[in-house]
Amino acid sequence: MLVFTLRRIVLAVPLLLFTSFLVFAIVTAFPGDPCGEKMGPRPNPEALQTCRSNLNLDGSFGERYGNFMSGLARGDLGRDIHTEESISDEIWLRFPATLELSFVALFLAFVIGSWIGTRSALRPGSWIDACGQLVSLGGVSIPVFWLGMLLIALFGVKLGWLPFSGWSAEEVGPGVDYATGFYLTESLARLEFGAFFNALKHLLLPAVALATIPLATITRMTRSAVLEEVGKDYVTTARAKGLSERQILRKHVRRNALIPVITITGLQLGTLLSGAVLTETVFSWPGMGTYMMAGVRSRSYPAIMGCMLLFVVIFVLVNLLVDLLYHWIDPRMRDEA
Amino acid sequence: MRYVAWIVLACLSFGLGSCGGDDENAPLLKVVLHHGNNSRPYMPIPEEVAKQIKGALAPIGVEVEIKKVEWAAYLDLVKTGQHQMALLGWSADIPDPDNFLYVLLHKNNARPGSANNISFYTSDEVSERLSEARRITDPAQRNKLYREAQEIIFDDVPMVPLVYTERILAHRSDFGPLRIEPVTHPVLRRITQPKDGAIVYLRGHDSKKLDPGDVTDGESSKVVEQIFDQLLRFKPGSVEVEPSLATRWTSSDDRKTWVFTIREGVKFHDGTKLDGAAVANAFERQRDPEHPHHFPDGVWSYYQDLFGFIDKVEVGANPMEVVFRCNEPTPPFFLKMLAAFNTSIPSPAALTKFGKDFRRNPVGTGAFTFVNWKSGEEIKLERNDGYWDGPAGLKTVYFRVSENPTIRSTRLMADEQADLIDNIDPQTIKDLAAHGEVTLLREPGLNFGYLAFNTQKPPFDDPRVRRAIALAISKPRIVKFAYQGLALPATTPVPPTITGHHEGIKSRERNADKARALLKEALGK
Repeated sequence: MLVFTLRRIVLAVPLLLFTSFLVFAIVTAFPGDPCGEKMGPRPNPEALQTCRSNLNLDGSFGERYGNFMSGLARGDLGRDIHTEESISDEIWLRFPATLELSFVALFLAFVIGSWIGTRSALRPGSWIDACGQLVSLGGVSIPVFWLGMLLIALFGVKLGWLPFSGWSAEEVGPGVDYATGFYLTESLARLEFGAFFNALKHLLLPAVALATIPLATITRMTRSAVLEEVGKDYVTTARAKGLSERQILRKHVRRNALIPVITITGLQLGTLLSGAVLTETVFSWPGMGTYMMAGVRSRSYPAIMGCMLLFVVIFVLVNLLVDLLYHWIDPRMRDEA
Repeated sequence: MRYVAWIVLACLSFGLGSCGGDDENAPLLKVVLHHGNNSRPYMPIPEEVAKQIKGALAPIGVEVEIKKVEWAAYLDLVKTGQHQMALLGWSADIPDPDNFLYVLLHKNNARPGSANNISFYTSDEVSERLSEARRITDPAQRNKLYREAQEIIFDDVPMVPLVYTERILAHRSDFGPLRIEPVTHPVLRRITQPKDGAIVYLRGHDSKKLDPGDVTDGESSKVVEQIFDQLLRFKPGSVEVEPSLATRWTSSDDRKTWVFTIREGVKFHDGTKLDGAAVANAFERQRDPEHPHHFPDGVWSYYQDLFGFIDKVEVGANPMEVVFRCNEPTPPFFLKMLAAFNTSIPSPAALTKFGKDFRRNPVGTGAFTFVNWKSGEEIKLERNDGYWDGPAGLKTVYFRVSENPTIRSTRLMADEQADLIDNIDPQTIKDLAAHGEVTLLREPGLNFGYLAFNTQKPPFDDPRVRRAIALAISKPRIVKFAYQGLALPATTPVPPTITGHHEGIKSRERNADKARALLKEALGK
């Protein structure tokens, strides 16, 4: 197990190096440059040139990539071209908001998706199956930003049940002195239930909007996995042994069917993060998504690259975790390793 | 039957004209229309404007190829004159016809590389009148010169003014009064009925920096204007100025020397006293690249564009006086220039203390004090209780960001952390207007969008060709489709908000036949 883990970690290094190159190359290939944006609509040509050389936009591609990597090696993602704030500080400030949002969304998607998926598989063709198909089709097809706006129109405006903007310490838990940006987790850990529920209320609409992306995949995956398992011989054997359907489902079918579902859930975190970019802008969520969008708008290359790199690192890490989890759940995999 | 349907479909897809087989619509001319890739206040959707022009010119036999170019590269392209036709616009810095006509159509501004006159229009008749109007101060005489210039320009068509944009604001009705100012952003200090003392100004983007001398974008100047004062200020709802930090002023007969008396007893937010030295510092730091407060990575674009005629600004005979020494007579609109945000007076002590981080820690004399700034999300201002003109009604102002314009309108209507919004989604205008708790304000702006011809290059070196194009374009269609109705068809390069706008000039009535005939004549076909 240890050898396996180490091997995976070592293998992740070239992958990260390659993606860092890709991220840099893509951002560099954008037409135009940040100086055009920085110098305003009527730039003075000399000042523009100075700006370009200050930001090292004049160097060759190799030179610029070298600079970027040497900064990265020192954990320095550079500074925002307008505000000159350190990108890493800014990202860490916003990371908790995105992480909590993504995890709640993923949790919602997993619980609901695996439930619907299992029910659909047990009774193919029933109304719940039809609903499940509809939900997953809808989830795949509806763009999150549009769904987000619909949710706002219905639950925020028409019914007025839930807040749909903001996520700050003052709004979430007035009077609570948060040490971290993880308002939901921290308020729960401190047993400040008022603040916890308030945080949950703020989180619900964006999390539901975001959850629809992985929900669809998880539902369909669970459905096909459970369908496959219930047809297997061991289920017949279990039935013959006189186990109740409930026991068969719980102890045998679900455990086996869950393996691919967990993989897919882990992989969904990647899509979730990109979905978070869109969801966050709709809900003015102070996370990495809004930060990255602002970076795109203001052409702050370091901000864009910093966020993209962090997304990549998370994606690689999650994949690693999923692999490890796999081993833990499925004993057969351990032997292969 | 089926074949007929196919033929009809084929006709539709190739354009009905070509199906009939007549060569009436065969292209007489092929031209390229360039436009930039980003949204500007005077042209939010350049692609759509380009498409409308292409559509309008096809029937007169002009085939337009649209080329979209990245913004910085685009500016470079038009300023060096590599275009045939190009879409651009202008937002006034100073509410004077000079700021439109001299900047955009005087031959002095037609030097390839740095041209604002991207029509490269070099008419001596126009340039002489515009230069003359800069030299004299009599308003009636200036007005006459500008009217004549606009008539010649209309006839010569170096550009087709397309639209004057509207400025639109919406706010919760439980506070006010608030109005759209012709030149500046909303003046929040004038709000007297505060909604529990605090408002959230919800906008599309964050500010970039708050150092007034170095600001170039609207989202930054919007905040800067609340924190700082200038020597003069615009009267409410007007393009005329009144005393602000300066109480009196005199000029020499040749208008090369001006002396301003500074208001007594004014303090910056950090407690520093306002005096002539602080005012001189505000200008000198922008002018002099060696000045310790002239931070080397700054842009300083407004000063460089506007104040080239100032030699030096220094403290006068007594410490509460400041003297402007100029190398030529100041333009007639000089006082208006001293009410612009880039001439705001920052605290010299704070500039020394923060250095270039002043742009994140602005200190002025304004009605609101800067409190903090969370990048991309929020800027918080508090009332300056010691404001020289009496404290503001509001206690706190939050500038927050919501990128999506539909959401901004929704949040305003639902009273969800939004009291005042701008850059409004046209689709929501009706709902906002009908909403009982929201006030919608609309005023013509100081911007206009135009189509420029490169008058130095064929085919647009021939005024007949330019006139033909102007005859073919339908401005109401552009207003409807590219501005969702939130603009007015433009007639001259000077918007109606400006004194000096020639209201006698009317756009050419669209007439494709006449346009085509004119074009044929010009091309000798």
